[in-house]
Amino acid sequence: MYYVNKLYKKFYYFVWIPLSAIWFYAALAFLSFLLLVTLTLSFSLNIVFSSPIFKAYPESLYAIETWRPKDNTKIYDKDKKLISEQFNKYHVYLPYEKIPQKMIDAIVSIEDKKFWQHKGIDVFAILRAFTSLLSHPQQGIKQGASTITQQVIKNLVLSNKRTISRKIREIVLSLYLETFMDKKKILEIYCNSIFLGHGSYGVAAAAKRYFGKDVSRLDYHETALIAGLFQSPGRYNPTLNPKAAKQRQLIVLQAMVQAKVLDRKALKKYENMPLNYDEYKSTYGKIAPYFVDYVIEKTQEILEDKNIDIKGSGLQIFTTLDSNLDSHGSAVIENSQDIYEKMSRSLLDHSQSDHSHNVEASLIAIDRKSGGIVTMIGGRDYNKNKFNRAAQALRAPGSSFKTFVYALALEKGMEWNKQFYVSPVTIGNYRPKTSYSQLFSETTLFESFYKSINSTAVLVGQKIGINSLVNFSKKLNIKTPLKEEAATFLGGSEVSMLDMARAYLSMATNGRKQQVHAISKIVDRGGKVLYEKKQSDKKVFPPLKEQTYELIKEGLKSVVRYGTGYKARHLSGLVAGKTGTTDQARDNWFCGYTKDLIIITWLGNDNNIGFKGNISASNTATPLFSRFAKRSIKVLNSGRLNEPYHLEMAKVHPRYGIRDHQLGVPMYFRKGHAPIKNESDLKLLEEGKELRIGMNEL
Amino acid sequence: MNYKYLFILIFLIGCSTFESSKKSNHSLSLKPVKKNSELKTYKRCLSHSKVLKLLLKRQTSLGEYSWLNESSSKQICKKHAKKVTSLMKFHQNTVVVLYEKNKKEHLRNKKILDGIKKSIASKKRASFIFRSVNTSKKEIDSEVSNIVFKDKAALIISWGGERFLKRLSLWQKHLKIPTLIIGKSPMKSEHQYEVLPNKSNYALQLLKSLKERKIKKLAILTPAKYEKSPLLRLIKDELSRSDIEVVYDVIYNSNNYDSMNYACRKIFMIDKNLRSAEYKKIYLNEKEKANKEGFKLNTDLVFLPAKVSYDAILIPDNFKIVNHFVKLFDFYKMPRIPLVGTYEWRSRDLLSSESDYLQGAMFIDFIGDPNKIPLAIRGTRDQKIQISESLGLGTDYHLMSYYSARLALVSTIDSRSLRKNVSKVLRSVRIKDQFFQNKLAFKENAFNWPSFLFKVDQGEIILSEKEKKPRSP
Repeated sequence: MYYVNKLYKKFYYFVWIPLSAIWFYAALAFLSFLLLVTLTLSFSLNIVFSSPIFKAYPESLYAIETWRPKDNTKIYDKDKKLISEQFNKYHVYLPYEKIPQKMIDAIVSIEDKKFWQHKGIDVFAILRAFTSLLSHPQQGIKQGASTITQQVIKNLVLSNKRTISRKIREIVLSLYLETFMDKKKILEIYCNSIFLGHGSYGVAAAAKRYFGKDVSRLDYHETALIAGLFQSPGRYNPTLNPKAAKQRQLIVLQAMVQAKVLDRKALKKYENMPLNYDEYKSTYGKIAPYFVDYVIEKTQEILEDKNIDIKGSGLQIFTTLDSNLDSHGSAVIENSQDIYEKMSRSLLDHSQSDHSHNVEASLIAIDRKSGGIVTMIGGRDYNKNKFNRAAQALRAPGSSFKTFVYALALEKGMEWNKQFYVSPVTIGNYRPKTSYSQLFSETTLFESFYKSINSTAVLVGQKIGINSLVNFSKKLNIKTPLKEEAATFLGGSEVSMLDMARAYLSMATNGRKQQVHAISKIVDRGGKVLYEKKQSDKKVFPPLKEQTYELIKEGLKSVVRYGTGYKARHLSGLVAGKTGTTDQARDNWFCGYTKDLIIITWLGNDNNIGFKGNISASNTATPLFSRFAKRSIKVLNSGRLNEPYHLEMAKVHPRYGIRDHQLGVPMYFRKGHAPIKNESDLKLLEEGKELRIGMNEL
Repeated sequence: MNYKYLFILIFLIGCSTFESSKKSNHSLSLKPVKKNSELKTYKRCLSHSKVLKLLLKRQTSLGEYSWLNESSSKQICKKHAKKVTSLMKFHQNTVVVLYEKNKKEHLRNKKILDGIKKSIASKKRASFIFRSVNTSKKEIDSEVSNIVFKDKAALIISWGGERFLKRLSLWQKHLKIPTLIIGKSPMKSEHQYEVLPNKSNYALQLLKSLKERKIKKLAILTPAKYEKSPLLRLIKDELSRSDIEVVYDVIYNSNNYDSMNYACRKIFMIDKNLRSAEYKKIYLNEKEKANKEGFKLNTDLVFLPAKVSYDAILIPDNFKIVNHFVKLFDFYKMPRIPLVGTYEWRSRDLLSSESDYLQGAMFIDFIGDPNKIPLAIRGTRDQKIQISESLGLGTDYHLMSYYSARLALVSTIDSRSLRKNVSKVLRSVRIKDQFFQNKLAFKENAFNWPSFLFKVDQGEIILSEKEKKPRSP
């Protein structure tokens, strides 16, 4: 035991301790080394990862994580027929489930054979590309090594720069992306977000643009062509480079064979199958372009708070447009060359370069029942000038505004047979012109309305007062502020066509507060209703009495029957309205209605140049109105306008306001207010009868 | 009836006297009468017989007067002097209404005949014979012949065109049958009485009214159609004789707006050349204003304001033209000054333009309160007629014919079958009704028709009648 202990002690002191110390120091040294290495590494890594190359990080993938498929906004007419697709970039969103397998196979075969296997990157492909770079550094990275995941990263997060740093970031982010994102989702993003030429983004958009059909209807040879576009949509654009596109298609088909998606037999079949390109028929700018612009503008207003990209959010906008009537309206505008030529010849300034288009025309029609805009044609040629005169132009409405002046006068108790002397008039320093042929005659309120006599309107206006008129116009939904001056009585204060449409809608519907609108419903991509136009249940108090509405409506009928609206006389009883011509016929309006529609027409020059000669609303805006009204009456099977219910009719002389069975015209009055007298000294004078013994006879 | 018998008696005595004188004349033929009065009668007979002979030639069916054709005038006057005198001197209390048939004047004729009939409707003693003629001389002469030989008219009431009246006047001058001409007569004569509004009364009433309003200077807008109107001439003459100065007398065409406009510009001195400094100032002001407001100045709309150098404007035209003028006055911003008018202003439509310029206006009419018009013409007892109510052409002619017929009746009855008495009565008779208020019917053969002043006040036409002074206790 002793020796054992001694031996142990010797071993302990001379072997174990020294050896332990060695191990200790060695371990210490090793550990120190390890620490040093770790520190160095971490330091180096910190430096490396803090460099821009490795700014890769989850936050960089935010764009992918939050990726929302872009989709075109679709605009439908009142019958839910698509009239326009709105987009900034042409997207047609396709969820993964709806991507045809053919398309997936084609894409995977040509772009990333190992897509379903790798974890974001294809190491061998990278090494291959790296070797290629080392051997030919001057050529940069030429060898394609990007997986679909990498391409998604490149397109959505990074740029197209061919640099090593970008490539490293791409790799890192790809690896990272695949850790949390499903491959199917990655493929969906890829299929929907990549630019494929011809303005299209994604396979569905490309299918529509190149083949004019839905992606589900594509066959292998077509899917192969589209799959080929991913590499270089410019180079392989079949419309620009059909040969290159064909070659690329063949490559894709072969890749599909290699990937065992297709067999050789099928390859042969699809190789020879012709590619029938169908020119993309964009609806944009073709159907109701001015109306569509107006709808987009209104949508932006409606969804102002929702921060939605109107053109790229796949909204479905249901509008009030009647495509049939709109096409009729467009045809009327297009085929009224006779009017434009006549006006063009009479233009006061011929210095305008575009002589053929120095006359502009605009038309708007509104459904009387709902207030929905059924057609809005803001000009003669949208492609030449996108300015929407129907919604954006502010022009003086001229005599078409007198309807409201007279309505207010009738409301205040004036009767249609009230007599006036037609002479030049003055209010302050304002001296409006009265047609020379009308001067020095006598008239009634009724006749002066349908003949549009200025002096009478001013006198009537003076009686009602400008403030009353301005307040009244607000009740008529005229949104443009009116000038509080005498010229407003004659329609000298500028308004929009929509203002006039709103006001005439109010007059035609006895003050029912129907709002003029173009959009009936907006639904998002998910089917959620974002906006819906609802008919107001609120009881409204019309600004005028029922009888006044009936009185003014009879006045508007008389404009067509006896007055300045004579060019629409063939529609007498079916239409009513008022002409409006401003100084030098700068603006020519007809504001009227049928049983179903409010129709406003305008003709003039964008530069506010006048016309000489006999140009007036009577021979410009009125025929335009009547042409459209005639078609609309036929299409809508519109009946005759209602007869007044609260009024009594009397045959009254239009100049002298007395009952006259022979020369009288049917005039309407509030019950008990029809004139009784049937003699007029003025009439006797007109008939050449002396009322008193003549001064020469004394 | 008594008069009739008296007339027959006188006629018989006259005839016997005539026969006896014929005999005596015959016997005296050897010894002619040299007395002055007899000579005068003889000469008168000669001229009468000539006229009667001439008149008889126009009428073939009057066999009883064949003695007029049998011998020369001298012989007739020797043989039938009394018959001639009787024909000329006496009447049978008949009033002949002789007028010219004329399609153009159909309405006037109807009104006058209506007026005459209305006035004699209740008078049983009236013997009115109505005759109408064309304008042919032959027919007129024939009817005059009937009046003299058949009707032996006391008085003629007549009217018609100038040619007709001239022809009638020609006969009337020789026949000396008192004639009431409804309207203006182209040829004046002692036995002709014009029944129509009195121009002098009218002009004087106007002058008096102007003076009462202290109007010293006047502008006249004369319609071309009345440039030669006797009434307007008389008014202008009276004005020139008075201390009222006519500053402007501008003639315009009532059917032409430009002409009216020009007349206004003339009397308002709206002339750039005449008032160049003033125009320049206004022009510059307007231009500055236009520049400020950013529009191009329309020089057509730079106006000189109306400048008036008179106290009132006389517009002798109808209410229609007046209403158009006031609109022009308003257009040129004429200062408010009284407007003066004539009876043609009287209409319910005068105030239909509702112009302030008519406030304070006045006009003269020869019909005053319509309720004072004789009931036969007015035709309504219960309903009050408004002053402003139009009277119409009918009222003028109704009144003229009514008074003609009434005067004819009175003068015929009071004349005791002597034509010269008819004239005497006419000259002295007074019309005792609300309208004439006991005025003499005629002043120098002109109907003494009164005139009345009307004013426009508070949108109404008001008759300005002097209130009767209350009787002193």
